[in-house]
Amino acid sequence: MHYVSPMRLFHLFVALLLAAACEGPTGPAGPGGDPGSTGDDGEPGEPGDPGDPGEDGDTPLAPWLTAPGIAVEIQSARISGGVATVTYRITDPDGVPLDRTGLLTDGTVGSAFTLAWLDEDEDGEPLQYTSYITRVQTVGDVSAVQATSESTGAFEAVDRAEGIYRYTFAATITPVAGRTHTVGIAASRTVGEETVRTSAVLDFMPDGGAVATTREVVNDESCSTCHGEIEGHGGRYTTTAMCVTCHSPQTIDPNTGNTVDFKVMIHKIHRGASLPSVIGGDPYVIVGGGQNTTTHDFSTIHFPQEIARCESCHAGEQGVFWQDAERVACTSCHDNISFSTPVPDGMVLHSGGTQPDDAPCTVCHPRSGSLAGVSDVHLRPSFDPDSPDLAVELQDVTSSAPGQQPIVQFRVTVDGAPRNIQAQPLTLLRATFSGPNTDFARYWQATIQGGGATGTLTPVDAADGVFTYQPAALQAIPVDATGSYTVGMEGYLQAASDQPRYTLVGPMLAFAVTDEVAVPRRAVVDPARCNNCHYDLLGHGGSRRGARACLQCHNPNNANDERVARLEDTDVFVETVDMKVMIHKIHAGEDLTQPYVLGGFPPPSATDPDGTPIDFGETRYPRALEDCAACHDGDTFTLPLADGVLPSRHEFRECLEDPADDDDALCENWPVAETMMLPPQTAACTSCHDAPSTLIHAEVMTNDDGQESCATCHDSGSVQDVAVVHGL
Amino acid sequence: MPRFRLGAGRRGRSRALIVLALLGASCAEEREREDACPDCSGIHPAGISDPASPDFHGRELERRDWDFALCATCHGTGLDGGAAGVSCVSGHEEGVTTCSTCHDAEPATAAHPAHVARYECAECHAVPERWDDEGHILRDGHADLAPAEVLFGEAARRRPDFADEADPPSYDPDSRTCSGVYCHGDPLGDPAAAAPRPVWTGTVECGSCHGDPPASHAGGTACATCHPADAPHIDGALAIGIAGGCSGCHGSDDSPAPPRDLSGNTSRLAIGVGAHRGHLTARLALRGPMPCASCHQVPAETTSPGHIDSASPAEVTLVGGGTWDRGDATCSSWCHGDSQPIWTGGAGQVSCGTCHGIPPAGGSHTPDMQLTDCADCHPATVDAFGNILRSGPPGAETSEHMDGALDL
Repeated sequence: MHYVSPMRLFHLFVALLLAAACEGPTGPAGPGGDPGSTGDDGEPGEPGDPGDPGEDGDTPLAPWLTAPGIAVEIQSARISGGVATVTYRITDPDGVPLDRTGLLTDGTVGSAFTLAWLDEDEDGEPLQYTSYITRVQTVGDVSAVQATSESTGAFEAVDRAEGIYRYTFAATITPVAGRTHTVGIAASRTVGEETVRTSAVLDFMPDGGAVATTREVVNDESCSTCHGEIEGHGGRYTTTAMCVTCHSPQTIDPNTGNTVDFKVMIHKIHRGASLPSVIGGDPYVIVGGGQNTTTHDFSTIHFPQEIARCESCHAGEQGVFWQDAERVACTSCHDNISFSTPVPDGMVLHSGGTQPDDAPCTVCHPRSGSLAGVSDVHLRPSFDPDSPDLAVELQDVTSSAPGQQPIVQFRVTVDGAPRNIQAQPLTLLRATFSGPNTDFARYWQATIQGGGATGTLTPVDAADGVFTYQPAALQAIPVDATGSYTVGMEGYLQAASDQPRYTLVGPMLAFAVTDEVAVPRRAVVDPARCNNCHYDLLGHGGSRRGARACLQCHNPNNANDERVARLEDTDVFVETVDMKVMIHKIHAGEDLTQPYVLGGFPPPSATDPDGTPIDFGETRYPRALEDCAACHDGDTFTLPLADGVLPSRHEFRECLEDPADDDDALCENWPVAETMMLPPQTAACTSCHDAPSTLIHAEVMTNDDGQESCATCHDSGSVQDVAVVHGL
Repeated sequence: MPRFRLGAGRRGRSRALIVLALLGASCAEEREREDACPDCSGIHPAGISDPASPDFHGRELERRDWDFALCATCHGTGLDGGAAGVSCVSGHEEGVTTCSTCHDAEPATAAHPAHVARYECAECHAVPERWDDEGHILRDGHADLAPAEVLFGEAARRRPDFADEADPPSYDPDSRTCSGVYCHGDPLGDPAAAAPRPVWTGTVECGSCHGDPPASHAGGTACATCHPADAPHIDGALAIGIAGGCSGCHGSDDSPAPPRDLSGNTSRLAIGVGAHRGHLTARLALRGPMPCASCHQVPAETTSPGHIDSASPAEVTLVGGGTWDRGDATCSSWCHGDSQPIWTGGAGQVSCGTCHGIPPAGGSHTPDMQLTDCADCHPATVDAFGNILRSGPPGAETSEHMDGALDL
């Protein structure tokens, strides 16, 4: 038998491909040849008869080049005699006009239009939109009116060369006098295989007068802090100003009976899993796609910050409206409150009893004050401006050579004023040491104040809040430490265990161990970006604040062994909690193909050997996952990674305890059966791209010494540049 | 006087010559024709064709009681030439007896233009069908000298229900003055009116017929507040707003209380609007509706003392005491306890706890009392949830809360 090596087979395969290419279909016509030489003059011909005069006409337009993508602007709108028209301009992203029909520029431009009027109260404050364009959706015996868009009217080119068109609505419109009208356009353009969508709105008065009342209870900027680009309905709607023209009280989902009124739907979507109704067992579902098959279950959404911080979304001209109590808005989050009797199952009676209408709401729920002022009851310590602001500034580290007990100098302030922490101790103050700074491989902690405090706290200038701390000998710098290390601090004030914690933002300071000058660890993520969604990131029950300090413990050598479930008769795969893996997986959530379950707090115990498993496969990231720059600084997401980045530790633990040895189910003898160190680039990439095939690909491209060849194809400028394939 | 008939040419030539010699007076003082007659001075006096001359033929005809037959003896029965060979109709193309021979259809003299723009001619004097109708320029067969007799019609005789009907309208030709005519406000009896008896050759303006403002009105408020520009004027009715009644100036069809205020505002942010409706409807259900008179006088009629005879805004007099500070738009009254809610601040100005503590300080209250405890001592005021109890039909509810008496 003749064996062919895999490489030989590969060469044969390539050769076959090349041969096949020679017999491909006929290619396109080549360019024309050069002009030939001028011939001799011919004999003059007989004069012809005069031709018929041609019709006057515009200079014909020739095709012109445009870039992919689309931008749209509504220039004007009017309603007269029951006829509504809108004039708009379409261009590529660079402002080059587009031909709507796709004859003169690449790609046809599809357009759909909405038209609604905005009611207002006697004070001229905006109420709700009502759309003129509606449809009736029927499911079984249930029919419901829904606001919608239309595109069956007449299009005409106003100035094709400028990309200006006019659309005349098919629907006959009887405008509501004296009220603001809003027209919207959702436009799409497909060039090649890429379809780009966008939308725009224009407020106008049907009589051409000035617009006095507009509605902006939330705005695009606040939504975009988490969602990036707004992409409603598959990207057709890109501004909340357009969303609200259809998502008004007039629109109902007939499948579920749920309103899709914006204030109700958005509140419920964002509270998701925390809705009392969902907790009670009723999922929150909206059926979209024209009542076809698109069922959206929002019951697993977890809002990434305090849901009570209404200002995370509410902004704009009427952003303060969230403080105006009305039953329909309030019960969109507090959806187990009944204002009438008998109280339905699963609900509770409003603590103020039955209420016939919204008028008395402000008696107990004014914007602030009274029994339960709206802004008061939504205030939380984490964003209460009156909460004490505890801060620690790390100033210096001395005595930091290998084997030495480091001396850390720091300054404590509360609300900017120095705090003598010997006279007024903090509830907890703890130092964390980690290193080396090329990539944290180890960490240890020493408690300065609070339960279990050790070491020596020495005032330098107590009145100015300046102290030094030297940990005990057990927390000395390891004798084998090299390079630079980092000290961080965590701490908080808490009057009692049932009172709020006021936590400091964890500071970090690099210090030299064997280096001449301290070299800090690389910065990959800007903590401020985390706070775009998380507002003020707190971890571990609120005892740790800010994302940067997480790196000290969540280093590549740290696995989840302390908290993962430890059941007898069960072998356990222990996930890494290395930040570059954990944080990607947590955010990839529902897009992961493999489960990612970490043990949380409280950890397993004899009474609860399962501990607190947290399945991050439920996480629903609110923006495009490939938008690495949403979290990363600069180009820190590109390959190759920095030198010295460590592989991530995973463990396989085998339970050796005989269940008969004790009465509990907690496995107390579970040694590491195998340690798996996932190479750093593989760890980072496969934390999102976790399909087995991708893991195999990465493994194939890694040699037995753990050297990865990812950068060969995925380096900046390479064929599969990480930035490019992520669309950045 | 016999009617002139064209073709009455039986009279002798000598007589015609005499007549023609005498013709010379103007036909009417209102009209001066530019298309002068042909030169007739060979037979008639030199001024026969000069409207300014006493010998103008129109004046001579008037002196002869408009005896056109005399003219016809020489100028032919059609006055188109006759024996004299001079046609009168060459200067009076439409005929010598048409209206335009003497005056325009709409005269431009004195106050005629101002009146004809609004009234029919017959509103002030007779309008003849023919030139020789009795009372026009002939009376009892003789020329009836100008001016026309003024005879007042319906417009001048109107009397608003509040106006004095004692003096009928009249015109004094000597002073050329109208009196007692509704059109110029004399019957209104407004002492602030500058010229309620206007001179025909004079002019009128705002303030002539009634004061600006009328003596019954306080100054300082624009007329259009209650009398909008598109409302009827001088039509015999007192026009308040468009629809009349209280809401002609403030309020709406539903209620005389603002909105709208006297400045036309509808937003509660305007001090004239503020919390009017909130008090009247008691929409927060903290008590029954408050009558208007709780805070200010309510006039029985538009002209009741203290209403429009004093400048806006209304004088606030709080029943039961208290003060109103318009500058700060706040009230200090028993109604609101310890608080001074801002009139224009909206519903949020009043809530549980703004007027008294939750629970109130002092008395038998203790700080740990909850809302649900209130009913223990105030059972007629609140229910077990702390809601204010009200009773009575919608719009006329009453409550023991905020009624000035302590319910224990």
